[in-house]
Amino acid sequence: MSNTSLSVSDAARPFRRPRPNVAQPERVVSVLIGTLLAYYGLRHRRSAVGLASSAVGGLMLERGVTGRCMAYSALGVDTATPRVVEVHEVMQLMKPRQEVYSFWRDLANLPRFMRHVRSVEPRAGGVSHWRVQVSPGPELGGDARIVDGHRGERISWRTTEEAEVDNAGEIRFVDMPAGRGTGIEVRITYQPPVGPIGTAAAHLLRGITAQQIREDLRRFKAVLEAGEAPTVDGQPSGRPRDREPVEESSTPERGDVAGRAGRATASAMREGGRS
Amino acid sequence: MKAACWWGVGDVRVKDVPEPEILNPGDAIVQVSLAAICGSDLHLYNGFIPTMERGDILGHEFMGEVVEVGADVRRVKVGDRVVIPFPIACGQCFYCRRELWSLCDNTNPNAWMAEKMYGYSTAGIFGYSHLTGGYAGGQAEYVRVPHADVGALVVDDGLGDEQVLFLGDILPTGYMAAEACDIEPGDTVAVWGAGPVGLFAAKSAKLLGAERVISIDEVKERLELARRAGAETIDTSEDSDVVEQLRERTYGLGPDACIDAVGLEAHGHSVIAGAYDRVKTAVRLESDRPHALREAIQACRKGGTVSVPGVYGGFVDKTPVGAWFQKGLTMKGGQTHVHRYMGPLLDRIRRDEIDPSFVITHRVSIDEVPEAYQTFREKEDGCVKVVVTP
Repeated sequence: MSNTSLSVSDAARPFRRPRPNVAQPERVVSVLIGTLLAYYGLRHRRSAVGLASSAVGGLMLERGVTGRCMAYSALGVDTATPRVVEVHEVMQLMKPRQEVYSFWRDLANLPRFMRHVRSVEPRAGGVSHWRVQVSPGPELGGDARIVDGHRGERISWRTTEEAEVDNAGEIRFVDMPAGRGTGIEVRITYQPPVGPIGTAAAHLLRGITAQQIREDLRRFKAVLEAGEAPTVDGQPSGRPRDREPVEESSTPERGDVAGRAGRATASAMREGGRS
Repeated sequence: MKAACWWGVGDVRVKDVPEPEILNPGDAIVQVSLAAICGSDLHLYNGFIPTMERGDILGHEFMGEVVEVGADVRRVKVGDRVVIPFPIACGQCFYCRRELWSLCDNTNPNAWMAEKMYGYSTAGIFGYSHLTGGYAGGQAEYVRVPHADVGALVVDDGLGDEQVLFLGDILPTGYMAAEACDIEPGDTVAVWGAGPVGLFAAKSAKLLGAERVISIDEVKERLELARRAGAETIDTSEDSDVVEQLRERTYGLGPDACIDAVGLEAHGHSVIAGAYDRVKTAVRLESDRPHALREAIQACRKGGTVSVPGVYGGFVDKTPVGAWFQKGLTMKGGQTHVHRYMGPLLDRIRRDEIDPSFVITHRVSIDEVPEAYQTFREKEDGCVKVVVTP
């Protein structure tokens, strides 16, 4: 349905240039392959293969130059516009709201339970420098400004213009009734910039799923409530030492690198876990 | 050290594995003096519980001596003789503070897995699949015990290991099942299964004031133990119409409470229902065989209670929900909140009100564990309860 309505609206506005739906690196590859095919086709233009080559090559060239792909639009695929990554999670814990708030407000604590956050360094004027890594991938950095409007109730932040990945978030803290402690609600939006770097960043950020944030919150809750996050990493089993069970390398954090980073975080938490 | 490892369906092997180490500040390392094979271990052995991995160390019933403690352990000391509850609890979360210890929020490292299965994750359990944390179990020479201060029961008097070992699981499990029946004077309690948990449930129902307890099983030795615990019996190998038997014996009133101490691997006596569940579980259309549960719901008197200490893990078919609703039954179940019962039950053992060691029929070394699983599963040689000396 959406594809149909898109083509109708395109037809209704023939002079408006359609938005590209092919990412920059893909366009470059299309132009190169298109040129080769067209060249081959022109050299062998008497044969059927040659004719087909020039036809396909022409289409590839057009796709590369205009950034529009008919096949993509028919399939509803768009690799040019990076996806906005949005996560929303909640967690209850048996600690007073002020204590929970203070732990979050001290941003240096965040890498202790947020696996993809490598470090947060507070700088002058309410700005902090974040280093984020979604494994496997490069470290992304940026400055964020804390908007701390409601002390004890809410912490929100937004990245400054220089950030490689535009990111905004909010954590709300509410008193739960009748001695049920504190409820926290986290919303984070990552908006990668448009362009090839943005596409790559978006791809990496897809690793930050709601499930992963939930695991982060779960560790946060366990450290604050119980003094430690549960683990079985390093316990004995009848397996050869290098063969860990399947789910321990494919937890929602994904992959070996994330697993190792997680273990490092877990041991860091163990060192300073009790508050 | 030597440890009994799950190696596949119907395959347990003793392996030489590294000794456990302290991994968290609340941990203790316990040198096991006595462990047991639980009826629920047979569900793992028979492949009814998913997420077991080859090499997982088995065993959630064990006791021993503390040989090392983590930095945050205060109450428990090196040298203490301790019995360990099978669920691991943090002592601080919403559930622990309500004494719902087996529902602890903070002890399952694979909570995400359990959430997918059950909506919310319950506590970690020793040696009981990765769904409940993948913790190495106690059918081994040493075991790591997280949150030792919260769970470990220190037993420093002259009681023998065999008298106190079962405080970690099956005695509280049977007791909690009987307590859930809210027994009043004159009550009749029917108990499906005269294995260790069913026997302790029968014994506890008597202790809690039941007028009559009727145990239901097909194994002669078990029925004999039930009679010794003060119960009447129904031998299903001779009379398969349990519901009618219970109706007759209560002059048409029906039992006030029914306890399903069998769980997901019930052997159906009705040919059709038995075959139905066997086929459906074989082709994975049904994960559990709920024969005892169906009978318990059907047999229970109007307004009565059905209490379920037997383990269920997944889905069951043809459960008489209509009977539950129309008769206004109360259904209770769940993994045992062992921490809640250890102290009071230790006192009952000290006062000689109960000696749980009466269920033990087999004593083996760690090397004999694989064979013991086989014997226990086949109920050969009068096998009711196996204890293991590492």
